[in-house]
Amino acid sequence: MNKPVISEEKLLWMYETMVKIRVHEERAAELFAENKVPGFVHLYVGEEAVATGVVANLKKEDFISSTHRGHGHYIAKGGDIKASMAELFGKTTGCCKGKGGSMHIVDLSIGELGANGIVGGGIPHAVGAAMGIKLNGLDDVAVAFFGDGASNQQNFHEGINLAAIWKLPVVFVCENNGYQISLPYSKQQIINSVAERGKSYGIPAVSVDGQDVMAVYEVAKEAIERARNGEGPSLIEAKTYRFRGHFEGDPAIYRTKKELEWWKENKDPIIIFKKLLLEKNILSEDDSALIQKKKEEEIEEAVKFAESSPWPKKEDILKDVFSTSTKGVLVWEW
Amino acid sequence: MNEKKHKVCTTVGIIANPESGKDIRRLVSHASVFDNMEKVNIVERILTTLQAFGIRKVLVMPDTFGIVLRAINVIGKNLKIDIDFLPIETLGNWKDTYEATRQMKDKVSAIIVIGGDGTNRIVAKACGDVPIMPLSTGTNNVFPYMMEATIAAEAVAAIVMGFTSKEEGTYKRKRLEIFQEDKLKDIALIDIAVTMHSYIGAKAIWRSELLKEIVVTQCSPYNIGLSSIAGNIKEIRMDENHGFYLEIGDGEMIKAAIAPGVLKEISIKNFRILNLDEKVKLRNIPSLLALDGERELDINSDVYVKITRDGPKVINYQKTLRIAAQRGFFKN
Ligand SMILES: Cc1ncc(C[n+]2csc(CCOP(=O)(O)OP(=O)(O)O)c2C)c(N)n1
Ligand SMILES: [Mg+2]
Repeated sequence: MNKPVISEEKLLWMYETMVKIRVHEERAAELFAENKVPGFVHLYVGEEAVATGVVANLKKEDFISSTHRGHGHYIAKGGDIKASMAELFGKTTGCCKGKGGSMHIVDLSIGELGANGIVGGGIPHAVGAAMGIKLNGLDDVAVAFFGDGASNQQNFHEGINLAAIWKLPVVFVCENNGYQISLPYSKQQIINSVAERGKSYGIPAVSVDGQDVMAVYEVAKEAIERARNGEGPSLIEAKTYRFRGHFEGDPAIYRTKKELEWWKENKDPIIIFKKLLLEKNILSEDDSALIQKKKEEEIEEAVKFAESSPWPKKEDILKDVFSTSTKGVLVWEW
Repeated sequence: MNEKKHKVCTTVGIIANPESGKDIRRLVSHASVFDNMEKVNIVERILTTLQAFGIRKVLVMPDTFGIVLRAINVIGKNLKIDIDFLPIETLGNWKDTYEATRQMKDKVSAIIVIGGDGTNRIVAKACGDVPIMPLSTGTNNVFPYMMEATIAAEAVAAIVMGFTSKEEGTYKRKRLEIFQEDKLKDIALIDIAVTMHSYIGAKAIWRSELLKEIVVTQCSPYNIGLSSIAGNIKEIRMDENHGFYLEIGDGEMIKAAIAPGVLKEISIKNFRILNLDEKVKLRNIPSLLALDGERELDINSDVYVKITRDGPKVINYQKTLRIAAQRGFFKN
């Protein structure tokens, strides 16, 4: 009997990844509330299926560029959570030696081009990476993750236009979670789907349910294969929702409790996927409990690592911050 | 026209699906995005046409994008039609369409449906005997018409204003009924495909390797989609009282356009005519059923399918307008 294109192993990887992201983010929320994490954190709870379903189609050499809400992308791409947790804590063992924080988690060794505090800032990075891939004659792919808000930025329009003209191996993944901070999508764009923008740049575009990891997986698979085969870029809009505020501490008065509850009850990507895996006998309740426990332990280990790591030294404050060497004098004189 | 005096309902319903026209087919086939502003334009044309032919009341499904609302804003004060929105909390999924159809069916004389096969399948579940005018939003549909909305609205007005009677201007379509343990589980309007996909995922079907069986109410060599596999063997018109069943496996090869620009070679093991009300037991279980081209139902136990004449009543716009013209519909 022909069986479909996805192995049980991959399905379980997807489930574990989604749970890992969820546990990580919920723990990060607690740590933020306990004042252990300096700076802003934007959490990915509720959007796990997007990063997971897309990255499930990538290999290590492929690139992703991320956003201010970037922990999920990093974890899905295989980022080391000890390095990211230490970064959140501002410790020297962090992936930016503690000088970047949540919005700068990065690991070039796994093709993670970095989270980005600039809305839409990751888009040109992915396009640039795709250009490099093409010039080097490789069959790798770059994926740019960004939000609905970012799709109003110049970076989006320029990036997508160049990628289309140069037929670059890049996939644009818009995580449309319905809000740009407090501004609902309907007040940002007169269209109802970011996918409608693909047409004006002459590339295929599709809108998909971002809470259904299998739907995201399938759509991303086609787009990524297209890019790999030299057929050029495509745009995916994944309709999703964030279960927490825009940033930790956001009272989120711009949306109703009822709306939030509806999404949590009906569109939790982990619940939806778990139900499918249970039905298909790929996962049991026991397996699921075990995965949950394992992920909690992994995250706890990362937290311990971060807590016990040293702070950066005062004298190193300007080290690794500028691309050209500087004694810092100029900076102080500003 | 004085509604009270005539005691006929001249209200028209409009259901416009904001979600249609953007699925994975844009990526895996050569279908193009059908954007929502184009749907707004369609509704503008419908409203101005209905108004020109004396329709004074329209009942609308509210939608997450506000297709009709935007059309109303564009037309502005020239719009003389009373437009009511059904009191539905929109969810942005098929339930909106189902609920709107259910609430509207006793209050309108015809429903204009703007969407694809999938949208019409949901409308068909709840519209009862109210005539519908299905307008396609995309290139890969069989059930709705690919036509200019102005003409569609004219045909609706001709029926609703009584120039052409429902008996003359509409016909019952066939439908496919799916039974599990003697209970009606779901319906389809054009085709049911049994596929070995193990999950619903992005819904559409663009690979033929996993297909096992297909049942159709109608099919022809000049239509697109899964039903074209059957249609390229034998044409079954919508007025014929039978359908077609075929099994895929070792046998003769047939070429078919299962999606826009996607031609597949499919090997047909056997096929036969399926009479109205004749039950056929599906052979490949467990599997998934694609209804009108979209993966919908995961099945694990025996399933029977039959074709009936209980599909929606659809307006034959050509016949309707031909008759109406003879009766002075276009005269002042
Ligand atoms: C260039 C720039 N402008 C404004 C901001 C402030 N800002 C931070 S997040 C954000 C909203 C981004 O919305 P969206 O792209 O939808 O992503 P989401 O937060 O919903 O994931 C804004 C405006 C910024 N960081 N960068
Ligand atoms: Mg957003």
